[in-house]
Amino acid sequence: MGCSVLTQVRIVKITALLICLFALCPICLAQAPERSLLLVAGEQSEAGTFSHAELRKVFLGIPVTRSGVRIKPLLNLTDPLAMNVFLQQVVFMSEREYKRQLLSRVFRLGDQRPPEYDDIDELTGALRETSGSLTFMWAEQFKTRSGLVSLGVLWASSTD
Amino acid sequence: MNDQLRRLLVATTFAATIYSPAGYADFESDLLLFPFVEANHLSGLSADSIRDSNDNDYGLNIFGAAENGNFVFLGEALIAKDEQELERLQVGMRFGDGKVWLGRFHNPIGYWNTQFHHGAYLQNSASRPAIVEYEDDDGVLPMHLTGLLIEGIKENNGHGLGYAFAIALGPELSDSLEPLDVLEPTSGSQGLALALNLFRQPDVYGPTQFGLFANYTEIPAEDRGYDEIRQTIAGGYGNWESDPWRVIGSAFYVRNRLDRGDVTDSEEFVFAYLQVERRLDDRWTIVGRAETGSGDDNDAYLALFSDYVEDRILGAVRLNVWERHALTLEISNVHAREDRYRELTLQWAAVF
Repeated sequence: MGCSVLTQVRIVKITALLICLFALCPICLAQAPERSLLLVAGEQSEAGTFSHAELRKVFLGIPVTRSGVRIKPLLNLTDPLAMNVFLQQVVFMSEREYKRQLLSRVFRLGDQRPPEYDDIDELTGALRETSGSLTFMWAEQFKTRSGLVSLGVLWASSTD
Repeated sequence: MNDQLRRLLVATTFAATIYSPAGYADFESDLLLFPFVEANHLSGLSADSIRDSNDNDYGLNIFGAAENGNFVFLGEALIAKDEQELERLQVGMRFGDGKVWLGRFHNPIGYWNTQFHHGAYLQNSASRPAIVEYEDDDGVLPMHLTGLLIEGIKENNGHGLGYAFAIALGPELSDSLEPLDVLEPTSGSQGLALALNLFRQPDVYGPTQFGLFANYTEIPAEDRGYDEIRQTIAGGYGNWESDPWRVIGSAFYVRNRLDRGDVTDSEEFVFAYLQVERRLDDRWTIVGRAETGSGDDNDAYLALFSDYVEDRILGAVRLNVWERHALTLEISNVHAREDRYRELTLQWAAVF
């Protein structure tokens, strides 16, 4: 039994629609800029790469040493979204919980809290000047700054 | 030593210790201020009660930590209405994932004493459980030791195995338990103290942890008619957190051997508390706590502490007014020695 004319028309329409969608898809992807959150250090850094577990340890204020240099985390507060993504992807805590944990560690154990920066120029300056320092920042922030090196991508996604 | 001179000495010693290595290149430091103001109203007191129906307290806990390479310095000074004391003064060194400390530190028994102590802002209730009350407030266990402390955490497949071991000098018993005074180290007499705390963190460096602890202290008590009191403590604890819930609990077994000449009395009691907290949103948290003991009714050791609380049930509401400021309203039903009363506490605490 052959298909009815109506069914054949519907199949053609659906096929055409799918072809259009596939054809347009790369255009849509190209239009949505990819955002990447990078792990960044000063260009003199010899820290190498970090696993997420190591980074979590560093940003919880627990001493980590690389090539004989103590790693010093700097908190980038210049963009709340960057901070939130960092907390979700690396620390696995809310900002409230994270700050409580830092305070508690300082009070109990005498560890140091990561310094906070809400000015990107000051943050960049600290990265260049402080041996072993690292932070996180958006790829577009990184590209406009000199004297920095990316140690890896912490998170990447397409957004609209 | 008069209060003014003592305040000056506390502040000067504290500052000198924390900032003495400030000239070195790798020097880093952190300073935290924990101010608090508290008002208490007690109702239902017995006619011959030794307690005041209205009371207040205020003070500033100054905390500083500094490090230079592997060397670590830590100091905590309390300047309050009725007390000026160097609570902690520690010099230490890092090794691997641990630290070895010398100085005066918080006795690592259980969870509460090392986690919150005088940082009132850090805890969600206004009061501490009676079993871990400060020595100055008629606490019955040593909360401060002076000597050697080794502590750290070992990572193991994402879990944490923590330890703290202390060999130190404990308190003597006069009007209350008196830990060694760093400003007047020869003013009292102290005996041996040993403490051990072993704990496990399901998620290493995460807030949830469960542990066991033990403590042995030789407490000179000539002022109270005893040659010495030998105190042995063992117990377990847990702090479980899964936002918005938090549960803190601990159980203590305490055995005291009181020596007077040829006569020796042995007394023992157990005590436990359970605190449940629920965060309602970023500003409001509600708290409930129950604490009770057994075998403490005619305990000769506890009879030396007139303010000892045997049972308490409390409810509290904490409001984070602004960032780093908290208001706590706490209502409790208290059964103390020879007294039963209700207590209403309003506390403001902050951290800067």
